[in-house]
Amino acid sequence: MVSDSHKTPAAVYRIEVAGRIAAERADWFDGLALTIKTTSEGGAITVLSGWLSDQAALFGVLSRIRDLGLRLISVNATGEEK
Amino acid sequence: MSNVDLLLTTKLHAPPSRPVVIARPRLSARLAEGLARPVTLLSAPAGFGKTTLVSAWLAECDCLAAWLSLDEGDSDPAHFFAYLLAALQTVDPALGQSVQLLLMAQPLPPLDALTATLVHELASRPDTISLVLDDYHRIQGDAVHSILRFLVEHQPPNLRLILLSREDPPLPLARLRVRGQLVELREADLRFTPEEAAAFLAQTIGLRLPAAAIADLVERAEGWIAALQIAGLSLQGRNDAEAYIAAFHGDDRFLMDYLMDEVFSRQPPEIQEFLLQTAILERLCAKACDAVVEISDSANRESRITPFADSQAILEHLERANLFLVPLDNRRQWYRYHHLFADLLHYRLQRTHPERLPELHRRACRWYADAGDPDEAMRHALAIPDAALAADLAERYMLPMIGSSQLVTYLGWIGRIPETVIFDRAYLCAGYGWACVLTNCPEAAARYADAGEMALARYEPVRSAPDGRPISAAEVAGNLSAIRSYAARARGDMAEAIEQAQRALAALPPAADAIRCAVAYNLGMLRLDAGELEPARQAFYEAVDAARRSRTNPYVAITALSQLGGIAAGRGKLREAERLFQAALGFAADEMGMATPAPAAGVAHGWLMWLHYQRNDITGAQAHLDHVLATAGQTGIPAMTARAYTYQALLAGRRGELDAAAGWYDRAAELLRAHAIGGLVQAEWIAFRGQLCLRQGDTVAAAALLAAQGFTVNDLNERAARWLAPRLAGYVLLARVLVAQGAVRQAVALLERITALAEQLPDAAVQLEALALHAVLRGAERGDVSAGLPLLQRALDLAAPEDFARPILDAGSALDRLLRQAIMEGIQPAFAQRLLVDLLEEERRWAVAGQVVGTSQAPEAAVEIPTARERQVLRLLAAGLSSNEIAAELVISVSTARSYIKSLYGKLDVHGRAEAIDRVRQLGLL
Repeated sequence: MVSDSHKTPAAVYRIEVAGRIAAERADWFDGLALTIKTTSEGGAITVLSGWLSDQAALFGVLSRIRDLGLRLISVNATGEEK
Repeated sequence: MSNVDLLLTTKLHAPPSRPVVIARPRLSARLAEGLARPVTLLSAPAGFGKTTLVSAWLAECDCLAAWLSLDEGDSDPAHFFAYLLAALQTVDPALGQSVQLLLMAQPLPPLDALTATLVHELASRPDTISLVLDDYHRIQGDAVHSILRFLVEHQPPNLRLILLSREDPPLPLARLRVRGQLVELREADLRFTPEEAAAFLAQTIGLRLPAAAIADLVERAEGWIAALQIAGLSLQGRNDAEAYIAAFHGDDRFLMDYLMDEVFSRQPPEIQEFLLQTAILERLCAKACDAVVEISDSANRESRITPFADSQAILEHLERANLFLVPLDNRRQWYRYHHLFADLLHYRLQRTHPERLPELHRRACRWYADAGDPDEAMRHALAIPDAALAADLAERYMLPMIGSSQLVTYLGWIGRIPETVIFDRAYLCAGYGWACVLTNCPEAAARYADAGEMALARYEPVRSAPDGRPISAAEVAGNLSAIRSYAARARGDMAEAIEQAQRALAALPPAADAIRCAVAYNLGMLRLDAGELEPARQAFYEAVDAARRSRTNPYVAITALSQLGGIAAGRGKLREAERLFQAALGFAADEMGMATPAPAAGVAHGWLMWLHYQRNDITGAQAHLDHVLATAGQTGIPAMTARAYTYQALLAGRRGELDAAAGWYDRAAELLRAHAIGGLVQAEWIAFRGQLCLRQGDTVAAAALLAAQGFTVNDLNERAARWLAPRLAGYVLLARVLVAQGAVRQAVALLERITALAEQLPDAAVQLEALALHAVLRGAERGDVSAGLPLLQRALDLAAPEDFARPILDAGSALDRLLRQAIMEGIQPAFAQRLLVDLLEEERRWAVAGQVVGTSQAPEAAVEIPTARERQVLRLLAAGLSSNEIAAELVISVSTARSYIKSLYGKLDVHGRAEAIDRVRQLGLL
């Protein structure tokens, strides 16, 4: 059985951007949750996490990150879950 | 296109230079380097000063530059080309005219053809033009990317491309880099150095700080110019600047967010309100702001400074204070917010007062709709979101959008309107239906046409842009029927297609002449396919009349006139055909005072080339062929180019330039292969190439050409007329090959079937060719040349009034005797004489070219045409009668008889009776 998760990966995504973004800014990112992490060097990273319905939604978030001038560090899909 | 040119020209000009420009010599040097390379790319996130750098540099450098600021709407290729040409025309108003004409073709020519035409035009200029495309990242979909890729691949040496983008565009950058054809400025290059930041703060804000503080600031902001700009603003008026900087130096908050808050909250409430409410506007002018903004009374009361007089005052204040606003022209009329700030403002409003957004969008929609900017109006309508309002706009702008082929945009609009709303509006269904027809989705088109019919009863009149013309229910019904017709044709239901087209024509009112033209043309083509020539002619004439009345796009009318000419040519009416093709060429100039769009001109010249060739006027044919070659080169349509090369070969062959001919045939063959071109173009190539082979004695090669494309004798029994029609030229060649192989009877049988079919279609050229060839063969079969005379007479009677020489001449040297007999017998003697002269000339050329093969006689002088009386005398002379007996027989005086005989001797170039009789036998005259 071929898994069709690659077709429309509705999934929980975890996106890391550099810097600390205030939690209230979640509305910039379509209702994703914002959590702050500290890196080993002592700097801060903001993790955007939440469910995105498909590729278009994901790229919408990525475009917004670009347009706000944030630095994208990583993007991970963490398995299916609604 | 919008009426408000002022709004749109802001896309065409580099933003005016800032009052203060920070010199960045290392970057200017890089840009100057770009003048020697085809592509310069500035690829960096927002806020790194790309636009500022390039516009300032252009103002200094002495180069011709065209500027285009892109937005999402430019993702539509028709829209993009329109703006691209407009941008180039700011450099030279005459630039891009050939492309503009091509943009009138419906459907739009392939994008590569359009780009190729532009490249061709640019390459032929003496000067170098730099084309700047700003905000390239806003282009979506692959259409415009494919245009750019083609442009880069075929870039003329005198065109420089300068692309500004927030991300690397999908172009072959790696390849350009390797070849040293790319100059890149990336984030690392564009960051402010501490020196530049110091100069920036000092000159724009009057802020001077110690070097260490500047260095900290730059490090914290990572050289991000936008952040430094905001930091500068937030440092204004502080006397603790260094401490302030130190404070956020160690901080890891997202800088922009923090600084924005800082600067924003320090603005007076009136300004804050203004910023929040106008952030939704893509391009601002005072009037738009006035329409959108409502300053609440409380805000006014709180303001400690005198409230601003109006929006214009606020905008100027914002510009002076370097507060987020970028001017778009030199007149302080149009501005836009720096996108970053507009986004942040937008989010702020969404967070604090989301309930106000719909009303703001609504006001903006109304203003842009009135200002004639449908793209902006629609964007706002969809943002409210108000499906009914969006649908209203889509209906209003249907005609201009579809008419200018902005299908991608239009489909994008409709895609965002719920189907239930669309199905409720008959005219919108028609709009969507048209977009589907023009993008080759006939099933969808049919669905929308059906829905539209059902909604027709509820139709409320729409006023169409640009002039507010009301669209009647009848016009909507006509549109829907027309769409049905196209859909039916696409699925092969020709009867339905014809009926719907007729219904459409009956329903459309005079005001809808542009659509009537297209529908009538479509009906003409349907009739033509069905072999109904008279109804086809009527439909095409109707299309021409409608185009004349509507005075819009001449493209369809020109094509219709060419079709009419083609019908006349098929019937053998060359003079009528010529009149029609000349009318096609002159239509655009006569009716609309414009040049003829290239592909249509190419078609008309192609026909005229063919026509002159049929009259055996090689010089005239070549003149028109030169036009076709020029057009084919411009438009890059493979079939047109292949046909042009084929005729180059043919004409070269006729002039005896056999090597040149072979070369042109080869070039044509390459195109036929590469683009899988079949039909008439391929059949002509085979027929002409094959004839050359036969002339040179290479029957095997000629037979192979036919076999390779599946021409067999039985086809004429088994295949449908419509399938055979474009390929008939090939079948005549097959007959010739059979003759060369000795299978004369088979050849004759084939020719009979070809003649019958050609008469039926009709295809006069093939009919004449088959008749003449048949006439020669019959003479050979029966061992008596004159046996072919009746067949030749059929041909000559058809051809003589129109000077339709070529097909008969192609029967070859064996026609010689037959023509002389025809002259003697008084069968179209003047025409036959002319043919004989041409034939002999051709034989002479072949002999000179050293390629005469087979049993062709030494070319003889042509015979002077004897009068009817002289013919009678000659018959009696050959029968052995004396002059007296001849005089008695014809009841004339002996001296009269003698003078006839003397004249005959002169015409036969003989000196005595015995010689005359010999001559007559030799020439096979009787």
